[in-house]
Amino acid sequence: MFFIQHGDQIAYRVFFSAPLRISVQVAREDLLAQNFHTTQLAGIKKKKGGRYNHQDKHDSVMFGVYTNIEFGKIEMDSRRGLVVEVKLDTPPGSARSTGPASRASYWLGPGSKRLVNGGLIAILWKSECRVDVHLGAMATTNEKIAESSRSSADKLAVRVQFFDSAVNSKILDFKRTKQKPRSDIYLIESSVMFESIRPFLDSLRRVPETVPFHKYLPHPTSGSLAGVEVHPPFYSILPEFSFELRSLLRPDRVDEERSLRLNASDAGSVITVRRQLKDSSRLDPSQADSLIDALTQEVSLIQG
Amino acid sequence: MTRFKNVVAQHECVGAFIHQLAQWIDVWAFGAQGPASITSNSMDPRLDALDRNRREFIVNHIKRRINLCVSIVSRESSAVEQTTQQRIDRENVAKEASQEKDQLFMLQAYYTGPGELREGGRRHDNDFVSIQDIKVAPTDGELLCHIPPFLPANIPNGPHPLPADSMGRLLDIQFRLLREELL
Repeated sequence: MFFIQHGDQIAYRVFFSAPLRISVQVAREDLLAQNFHTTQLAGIKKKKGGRYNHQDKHDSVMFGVYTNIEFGKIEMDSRRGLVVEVKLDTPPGSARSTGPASRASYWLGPGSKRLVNGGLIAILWKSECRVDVHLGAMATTNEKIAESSRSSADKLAVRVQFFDSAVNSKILDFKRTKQKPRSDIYLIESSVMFESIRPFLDSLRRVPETVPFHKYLPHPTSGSLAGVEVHPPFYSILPEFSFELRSLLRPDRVDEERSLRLNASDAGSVITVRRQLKDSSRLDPSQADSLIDALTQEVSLIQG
Repeated sequence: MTRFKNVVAQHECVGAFIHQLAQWIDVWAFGAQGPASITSNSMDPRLDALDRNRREFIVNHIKRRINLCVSIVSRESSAVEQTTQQRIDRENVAKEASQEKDQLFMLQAYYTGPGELREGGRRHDNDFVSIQDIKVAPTDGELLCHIPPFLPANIPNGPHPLPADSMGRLLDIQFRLLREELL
């Protein structure tokens, strides 16, 4: 963690990538630049697509850029809701092979990591002097992209689901306007696989009281776990519950009538059984300790 | 209360009811666990039939459940009036220069809160005090915002709107840091 100064605002900076935000802001700055033609984005536009490489002293980020975005139909997808057909330039490289079959096999093979279904994309929309950003998720399978690549070596058609539904209206209005404002539209692809991250973030937003182990997980105000007492498992403190450990005794020490019962809520029982396991069981002393700890504590960390 | 998230905030009678219920359970528990002369007059003959251990277990279990409800109610109905508490009070910070204290000092000195708690208001349209209100996918406004986001440090006693040893704070910090890392 270190402290940096941004004018009169001091912020502490931790080493986070925030790849999506950085890609979007960097590309947008290029679009707004006075000398646009000297920027990296302009170079990519000339080549009709490519990878943008950004490096400064804090961040280093790489992302895919697709150019000359046009909008097609807006459709209803039963799983995702409204999706928009988006046409873009086929990016340079093997995607532009002359044969339809080799183009298709690119998207099914090495290109299957690009424009991934469910991945996050951002549309960068320059209209006159203003640049807007619209975030969405890819809603096309790689098979469909491969199919689309067969029909043309220059253009691809994909589908996008925008998170902000107002964007769908904006696109409709844009398509209906005869005199369109001067526009320059790009599609930026981040390497973020949104659908695999979203469930974790959603789980973290659950009601805090429903998360188990609330005595152990949050940082204690003392700053140390030394004072935290670990309780026995809930099922083991039911009245008259005890563990039967007779099966761990060595054959020569097994007495037919004897049982080896461990009562997790009784400290005496725990001490006695621990000793008996060490003396008469098939476990070595550290194994015996681990077993007793696992049975008498709600949380235990064992390294074997 | 876990299925209908804002029920406590929107219907005051729920909070009042839970508190009342907690009081009634306390009275009942006292009667159920008291000395033998009182328990023979307890209201529930099924309890009388059980031995002491079982009775105690059941009573404690019920108390644990109601306490969970009470803590949900307290958390959701407390107003977020924390701006004054977040201000660094430099005279009170210990003068010993241990590395840990310096770090905490710096964190508190340059702390700006989430959402409305920030001087100057919310940074963008997805900036909120409660992570339940934050949309997982970044909004367009959030992506373009140049103001540094609220990223709490994951250390004990660091500055944060939520109570120091609460599960709510843990979830909040993990959510914000994971989201920033990946998005």
